[in-house]
Amino acid sequence: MEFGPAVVAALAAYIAVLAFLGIRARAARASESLADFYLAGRGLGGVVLLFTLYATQYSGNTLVGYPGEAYRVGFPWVMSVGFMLAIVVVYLVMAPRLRLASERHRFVTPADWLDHRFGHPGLTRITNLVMAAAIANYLLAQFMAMGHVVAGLSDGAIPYAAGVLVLTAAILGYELLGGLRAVAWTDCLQGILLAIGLFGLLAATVFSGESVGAATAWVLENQPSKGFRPDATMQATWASTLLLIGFSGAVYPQAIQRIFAARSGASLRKALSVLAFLPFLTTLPVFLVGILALPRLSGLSGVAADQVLPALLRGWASESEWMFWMCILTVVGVVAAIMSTADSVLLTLSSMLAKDFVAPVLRRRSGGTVEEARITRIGKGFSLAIMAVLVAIALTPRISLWGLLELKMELLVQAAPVFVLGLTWPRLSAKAALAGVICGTLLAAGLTLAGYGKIGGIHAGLLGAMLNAGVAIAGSLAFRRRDD
Amino acid sequence: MKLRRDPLSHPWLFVAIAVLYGFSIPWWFGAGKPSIVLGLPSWAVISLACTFAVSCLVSFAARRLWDDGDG
Repeated sequence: MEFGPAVVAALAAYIAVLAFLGIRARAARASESLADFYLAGRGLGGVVLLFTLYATQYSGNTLVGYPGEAYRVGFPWVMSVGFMLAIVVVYLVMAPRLRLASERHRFVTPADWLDHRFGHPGLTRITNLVMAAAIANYLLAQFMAMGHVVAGLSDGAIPYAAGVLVLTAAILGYELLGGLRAVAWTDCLQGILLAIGLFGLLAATVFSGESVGAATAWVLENQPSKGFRPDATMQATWASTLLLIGFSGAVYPQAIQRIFAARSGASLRKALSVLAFLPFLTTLPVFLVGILALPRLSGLSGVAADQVLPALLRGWASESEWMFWMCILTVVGVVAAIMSTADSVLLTLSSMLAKDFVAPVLRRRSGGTVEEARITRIGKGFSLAIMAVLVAIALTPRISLWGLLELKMELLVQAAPVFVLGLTWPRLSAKAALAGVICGTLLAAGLTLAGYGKIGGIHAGLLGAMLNAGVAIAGSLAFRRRDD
Repeated sequence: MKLRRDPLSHPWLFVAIAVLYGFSIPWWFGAGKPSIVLGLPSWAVISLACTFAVSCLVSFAARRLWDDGDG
């Protein structure tokens, strides 16, 4: 069997299982309430919670982008293990108090906590807009990655457009059927496939007869800048990346909703205590694959960073039957990683638009309450609309869009001071927090769009977040003094 | 409703995490050619060891320093 058709067959089997899980999740629903559809009835136990956090946190970028970065940057990319762990460190700061408050006040979206903590519609709206803009960009990136990855890894057997259309249709199908319950169950399957894919990747590297030690010796001899201690600018970038990814990754709205969806504090504690070790089982093997690629692909001039994994897989697949199937498993693992991130982001984005932006307008018009089942239906409509718009953009990609995608983390991290300070510092005032978000977002977006993505190795987004936190703290102290 | 045990009431935990993260960045390593340990440059191995220590601390804190009284 050739590599391309084998990938098509494996993906078809995988999509069939996803459809089955979507139908089962539909049958398991208790009602059409917002909490049932968007939070799986607040009933996610420790194991499902672990898999859904894992599959959501590790996207296709982890498996495709990170080997490329390790290939491009060299050993300093070992920082990727640390920055994926930094997200769990920030969870440890936020999750205990956030989960307890959500249990008491029945939050559905991050905006519910903002309303509860600050009671300031302007702050809720602006923070929500920043988060929605960031994750809409993220979702578009996942859709485009689906097309590129499937086309690249199937050796062209599946064209870019077909990859985007088939996989997004599959996501929409099981998500509209079962909401977060379907997403969490498919995340379990996708998390297992991701782990198997990583095992396949490691097995492929081990059985290909290449050793990490030999690759390291080759790098130190032939490309010493990638193996010697990183210079001062790279060290600054390392520290900046730890903080940027740690704080922005922890305030992904889809991650916050999983904190709300936990069955109990014990479920969440168990999930996080295991999640803390998963960077060593996920980002570390991926980093090593990128390092092994350095001597192997050194003869190929101008290999694009994101083509490192496909180039390695195509080479390994031709070496033996065993390697062939390990590479097929890796391809399915990569697709699963992308889909598990995209489905979570889509569900969260539609819940934010329906509940936080449309429901208040409907309430004002009707002068009373709006049925939850109606908001759930509106949310499903938003899922369809978001999917249609973003797929249309993904099918006619313009290069400038990738510039927008770089804004994702830079934007998202501006929501971190509101959440982290709001949860840990009772004196944080709504007005000061709002001023901080506006100042930080303007600085980060301005620097990034002006071409200053980093200054002295420090990310523009982190500089914005530092200004954001500084304004929020100074403003709160000033307002407090004036009120006293 | 308050947490029975809250990781934030243990400042030593976050100081230890910050120190370990600080040493995971190899500013302390000399500029010369590193030796190879466990197949990797020695500074990368020490960096990974510091990061693993952070994993252990976070896992310990999630299990032992956080209790919301419900599970």
